[in-house]
Amino acid sequence: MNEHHYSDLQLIERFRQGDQVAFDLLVHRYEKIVYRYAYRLTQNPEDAAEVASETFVRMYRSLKNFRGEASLSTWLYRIVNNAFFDWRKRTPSRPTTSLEIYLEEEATHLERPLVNPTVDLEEHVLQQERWRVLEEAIAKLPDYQRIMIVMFHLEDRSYEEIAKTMNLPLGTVKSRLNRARQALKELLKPHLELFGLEGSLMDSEVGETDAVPSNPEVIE
Amino acid sequence: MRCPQIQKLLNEYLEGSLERASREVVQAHLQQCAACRRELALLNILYRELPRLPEPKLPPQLGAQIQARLQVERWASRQGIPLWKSGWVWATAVPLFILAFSLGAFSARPDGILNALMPSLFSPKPVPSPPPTPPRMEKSLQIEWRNVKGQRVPVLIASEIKPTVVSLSWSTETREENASPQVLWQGVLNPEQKLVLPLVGLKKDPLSHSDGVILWWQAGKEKRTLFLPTHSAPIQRATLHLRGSLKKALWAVAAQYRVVIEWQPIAPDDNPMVVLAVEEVGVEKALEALLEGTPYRSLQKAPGHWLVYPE
Repeated sequence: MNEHHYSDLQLIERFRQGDQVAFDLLVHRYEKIVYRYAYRLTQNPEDAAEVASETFVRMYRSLKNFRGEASLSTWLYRIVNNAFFDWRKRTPSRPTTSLEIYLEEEATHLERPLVNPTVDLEEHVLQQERWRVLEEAIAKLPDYQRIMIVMFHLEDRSYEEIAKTMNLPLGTVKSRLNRARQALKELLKPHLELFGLEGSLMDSEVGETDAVPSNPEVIE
Repeated sequence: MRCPQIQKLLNEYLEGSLERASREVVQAHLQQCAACRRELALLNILYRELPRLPEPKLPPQLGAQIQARLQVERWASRQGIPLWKSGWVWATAVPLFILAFSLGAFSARPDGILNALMPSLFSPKPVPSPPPTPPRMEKSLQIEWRNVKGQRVPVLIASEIKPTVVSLSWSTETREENASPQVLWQGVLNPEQKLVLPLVGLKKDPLSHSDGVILWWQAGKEKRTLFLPTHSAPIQRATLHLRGSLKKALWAVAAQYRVVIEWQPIAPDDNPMVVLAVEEVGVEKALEALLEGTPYRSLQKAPGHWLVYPE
């Protein structure tokens, strides 16, 4: 049986009829997505593997009840979230972020693109540093905000998909995501130069009056 | 439109989902307002940089780890056991389950193994509660025999004072050159954690002359060998006549007295020749006699658990 020949729903149907191979094919199809998302939430390869394994066990238990109202991936994101929160409850004493370990291990756990000879080495180093700062900032967010940021900006899920995954109204998703973005922006403010924005640029207060003509610049 | 209203629209502006009229208002405002341009530039970092973050690499053992969990789930499902009612399955149940499978323990006596295993599957604390944990953990490693549903089960208990990568492997073959150790448990042991690992389902290989299994405990750079007898009830007195390597002799003593012997060799390959001839003595005297003339001494760490350590 070749997994590419079957849609998710076809494999689910075969699994419902007792075909265990169909389930394994679904695991194979989604393990990368599930692990990647679990890693973004836990920030640790071992914990991510534990949450990912738990996710597939829960999928095994409840796939027979999957009604196909949302896509399988949306449904799986929801299971990862639940497994993640249960894991968090189970390991409360664990530090939320293990940045040192994470950084030490990044060479083995993260696929950093190799330096392309045509790429400016300084720019490459700066890019690595930008990623480090971003990952550190995401790690500092509270769990709920991190989930929002990761789902939208890293996993490329739409507002509607996040709403389905989180079982929240669309408006709530947008406002929570905005709060998460605000928090993330605050965390990035000490590093603006790294992102090509001057630090002093951000210090001025946001204007409360109608726009005052200044040096016109085209942003786009 | 004032800045706060404009800034509320910046997400949709960047996402390209604003209607044309609103988009033009935002554009006109941005051309004249430095503060909102700054806000847009900052927000743009999230939209531009976050999707480019490097992806984590899949750990090579992930597939096996998932399959191990699923194997337990499938087995429980066939038996009609709802594992999920008590929430998260205790992680260590998995390798032990696999071990039990590999030794054919389930087909031999499923009920016994299940009884021994169930506490680890159904309760957060898999064995009778350990004594109250002192707030500050100490580095420790010991095997205790505990009663689990009427069965005497060896339970490995370990803690570390700093985060340490630990692994526990096992084999039924004493000679390491012939052994292909299988990993029972591995992971990072943090100071606030205590590893409580019921070693259920361990059975001697019927083809092996060994009367138990060998465990290798590696914590960081430190490696120890533990001889774990198959039988739980210790024998008080025995007569021993041994001649050979220390490793084999310790194994023989462990098997004869049915106690755990933990060996901390001076060097990984240290294995001096020893001779032992004792009549009707307890394990303490036997170890004393055995280690005389070697750079090792012994002490009792816990009931049924002896440590042989460099002098």
